[in-house]
Amino acid sequence: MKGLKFLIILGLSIAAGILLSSFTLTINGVNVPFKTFIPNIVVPSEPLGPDWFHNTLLTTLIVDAVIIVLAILGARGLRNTLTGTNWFARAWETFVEYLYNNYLVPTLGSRAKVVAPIAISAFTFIMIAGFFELLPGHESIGKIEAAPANLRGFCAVNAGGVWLITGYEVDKAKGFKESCGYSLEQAEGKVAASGDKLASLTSDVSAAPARAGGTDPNAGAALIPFLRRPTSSLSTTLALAVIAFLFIEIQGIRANGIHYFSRFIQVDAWRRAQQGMMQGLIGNIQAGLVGPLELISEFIRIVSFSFRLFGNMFAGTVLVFVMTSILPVLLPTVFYGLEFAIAVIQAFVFMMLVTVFTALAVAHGEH
Amino acid sequence: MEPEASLVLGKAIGAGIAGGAGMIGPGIGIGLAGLGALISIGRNPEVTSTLQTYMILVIAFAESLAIFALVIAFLLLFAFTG
Repeated sequence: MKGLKFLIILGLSIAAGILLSSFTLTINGVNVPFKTFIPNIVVPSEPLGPDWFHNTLLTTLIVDAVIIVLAILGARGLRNTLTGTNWFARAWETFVEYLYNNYLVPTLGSRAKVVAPIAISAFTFIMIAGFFELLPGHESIGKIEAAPANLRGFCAVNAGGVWLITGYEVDKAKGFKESCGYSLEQAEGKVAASGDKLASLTSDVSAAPARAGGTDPNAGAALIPFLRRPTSSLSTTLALAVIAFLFIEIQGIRANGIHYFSRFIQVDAWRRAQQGMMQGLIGNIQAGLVGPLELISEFIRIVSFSFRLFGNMFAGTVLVFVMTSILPVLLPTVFYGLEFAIAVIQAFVFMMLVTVFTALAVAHGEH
Repeated sequence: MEPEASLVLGKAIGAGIAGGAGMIGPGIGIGLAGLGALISIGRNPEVTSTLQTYMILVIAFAESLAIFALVIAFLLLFAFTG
């Protein structure tokens, strides 16, 4: 019986998915066809309004607010943990202590206390930022504008003040009406509705200059999403990587003093080579080559830190786009699960790498 | 061939090769990391939790190379206007 129920639900879901992947609605007196599609995939973050206010910045602020509110709630609960049972503060305690005792202390020993704030903060931020992809509306609700020259434009229709993107592409050579089957005025609802008191595609375009010279509403509509997870933009991950890099170097210098730099300028090897204690050529090669290599590998960490996180998150977004365009109902669920796991794993990897690199930098002088 | 068509063609071929060929090495690397960890856990099951941490770390290193290839493929496809 259970197997049969499962099969029925599976079949219904797939049927619903196939039905929902293209349907027609009557809006503004026009029959408007809709279908699933792959939206414009843009690598850099996009500005919402002013040039400096990008959608990833908005999402970063929201993530920060969420973390701060959770932290304040947890900290308030800490005061009466001894007397009462504040599950929220205990959940925070469990979370932090699990990471601290199982991963930070075995790697760093007594220095775990110094590294814990930045490592666990990075973990929390990356994890919660990653979870933002699971929210409905991520990369799908946003500001509409005329498509710039380098992006595809889509047919869109104004359904009572809300613009809906239909998924059919506008052939820029033919124009909006030829490609979509209804004119721009019909899409705006000027024919059917009494007056356009709400923002429309044409008035938006005349009011604000669009992203990259997109001023022609005939080219179709493009979407600038409000929510885009911060870690799927290279700027955020680069900032995190630079912070982690500086932290690691400062810890190394604090632990070893000026001796820390003897890793990059191999004074000992040079002296030994000069004294003839090693084979002359090999000693010189070690002295001359190992130092610069160490230096390069320090700076390569910035690249690998930032690109690993950015690549994972951006690839996840593209993956969900593609899977949703194939079958909108059942299939993306699997990949949302994968995205959930990837958010946690990447946060863990970032935390562990900060920890391990700090341990390496600190332990340098001890052997 | 028209220059625009050849640009599209070159982008598609380049992204395909970058994405596909770039995954071969990291795939082997991740397999080797998993193999080593599993053999060690099979011989000495007490070290499971320690090994798991380091295995995930090594896999992340190998995976990051695959991600570099993927990023290059994405940049070719979506950001390269040439």
